[in-house]
Amino acid sequence: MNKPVRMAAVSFDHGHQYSYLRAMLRLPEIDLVAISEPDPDERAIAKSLLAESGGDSVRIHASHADVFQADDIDAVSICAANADHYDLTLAAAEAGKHVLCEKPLAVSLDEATAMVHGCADHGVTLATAYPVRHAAPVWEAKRRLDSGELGPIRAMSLTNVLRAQPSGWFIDPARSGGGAIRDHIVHATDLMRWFSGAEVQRVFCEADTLARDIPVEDTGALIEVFDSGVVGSCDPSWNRPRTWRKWGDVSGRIVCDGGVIEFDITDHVVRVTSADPGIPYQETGFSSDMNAALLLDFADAVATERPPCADGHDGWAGVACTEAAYASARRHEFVDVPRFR
Amino acid sequence: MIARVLVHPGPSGIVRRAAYEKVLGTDRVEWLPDNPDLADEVVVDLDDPDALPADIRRRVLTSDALVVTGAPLADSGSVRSLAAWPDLLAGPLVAIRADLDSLGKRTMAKAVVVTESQSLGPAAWRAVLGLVALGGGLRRIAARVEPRGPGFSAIFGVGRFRDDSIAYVEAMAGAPSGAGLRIYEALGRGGIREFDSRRSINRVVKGGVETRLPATQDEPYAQFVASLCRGDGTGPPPALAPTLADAHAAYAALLRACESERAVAL
Repeated sequence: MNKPVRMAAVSFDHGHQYSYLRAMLRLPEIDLVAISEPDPDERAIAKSLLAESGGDSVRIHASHADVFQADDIDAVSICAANADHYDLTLAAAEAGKHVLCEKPLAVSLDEATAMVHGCADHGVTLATAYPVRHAAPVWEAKRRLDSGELGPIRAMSLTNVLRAQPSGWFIDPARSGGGAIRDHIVHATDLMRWFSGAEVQRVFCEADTLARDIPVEDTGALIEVFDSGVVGSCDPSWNRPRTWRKWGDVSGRIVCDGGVIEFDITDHVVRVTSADPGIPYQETGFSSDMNAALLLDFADAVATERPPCADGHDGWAGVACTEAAYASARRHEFVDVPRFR
Repeated sequence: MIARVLVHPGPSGIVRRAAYEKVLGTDRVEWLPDNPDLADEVVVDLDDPDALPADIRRRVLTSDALVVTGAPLADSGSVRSLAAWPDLLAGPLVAIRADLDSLGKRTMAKAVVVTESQSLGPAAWRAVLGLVALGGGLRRIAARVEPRGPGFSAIFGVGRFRDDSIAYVEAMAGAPSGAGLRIYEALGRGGIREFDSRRSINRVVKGGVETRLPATQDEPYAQFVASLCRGDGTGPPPALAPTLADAHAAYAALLRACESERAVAL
């Protein structure tokens, strides 16, 4: 095994960082050296989690700059609010740290482009946190599609929906850059790109704030036309009732010439029904940890100097599709999705 | 008065013929022959006119018969034709429609129909009918169709209902064996109603082929035939007329939208 990659968790704005933290503490391929979080309440929660998880030796910083300046850190996992990805990623890259950046990579195409170029210029890896690629059913779907056993892909329909409950910076357009469209189409679009090996050429999008009275859109639907000619669709809505049978999903149907692959990463559950009417029906997931697999891939990419499963260009492509989707929703027409230059 | 029914065998031919026989008896129902007598008391039931040999298709579509199809005809000419709407009479759509008021302010409705049949029109009509039944008439829609290669075809539509909630419709034909499905979703601030035919375990699997067990005693197509026989032969029951009118407008717009860079307004 290579020497463990020395990592730091930068910002806990996005709750995914807590999952990544647990994975980093568990994986022998990663040595979690430090965390940084300016918000004292959030920092206290992270500190508590570290204490519970055997991470007592992990340094805790209030300033991200302390992490970037540290000599004993090779790479960082950035889970700040979307609008802060740009500054933090470039600061990390300038300090020579490899970056695993939470999705969406950025809130504008200019920023995403600068992030990709900035990391390349400084010779550091930029990975986009698309953990869904590493969910067991998705990974197996990709393997079987690549094997050719089902023939060429003909059409793709994906959903990445959520209960109507995002709050805090997620619904602050200045910090999130948007709502369900910004937050969710990147996952579905990334899977369709990854499965098909094709790029999104054009999109049509409808989006609106319908499920709640919040400042960002919570309901939407897209048609995505790929350069291979395949057409796909995506429902990225945050509009399922809070009482829905699950928190959300990432599901898909990939129709091929010789068969269909259907998956739902939230479908591996034990159903729990109590005789007590006060205890609601629950589903307890037992599937493998896609977040740990994401971190493991990133650490191996850094250690072996290979590209990560999803790199900065993959993150950039998600931002490009998102920007085109917003333009389409404003103009009620199909909009071209730019290519990376 | 329906003197005779000629059913074209096809993807759902057995179900459609059984429905007529249940309502009219077996004496007046037969398969569509190669040289049919097409008087005005005759009903010709066919899923997709394009599946007919060209000469029979021409004769059917220029006859005095009532032609019942799986989707609205693009070039019906002077023939009396009727796109079937059995899903409005029994099954999950009816159950969801009965409960729509409880959803409050609407956010979205979705309808997906995937069939192994080679004809996209009937799948698309069935999906649009479901969409409109759940969300009402459309205000605009954009769409793309994927007609690549033999056999398979798909159409995707995204738009807005008249109440401004979001519409999603998807239909596929020529899907691989066993891949057929129907999905309906109606969402509002007050809840969600969902149907996914894949979730049902009422099925028979034999020789690698799955057959679904019926959910209703009264097969929806039989109810449609009964409705046809009760009426004047063309018009729907008054309660369903607005939905069917909206569905016809939406279906036509969906087809136009496939060729348009902009969403088509209704």
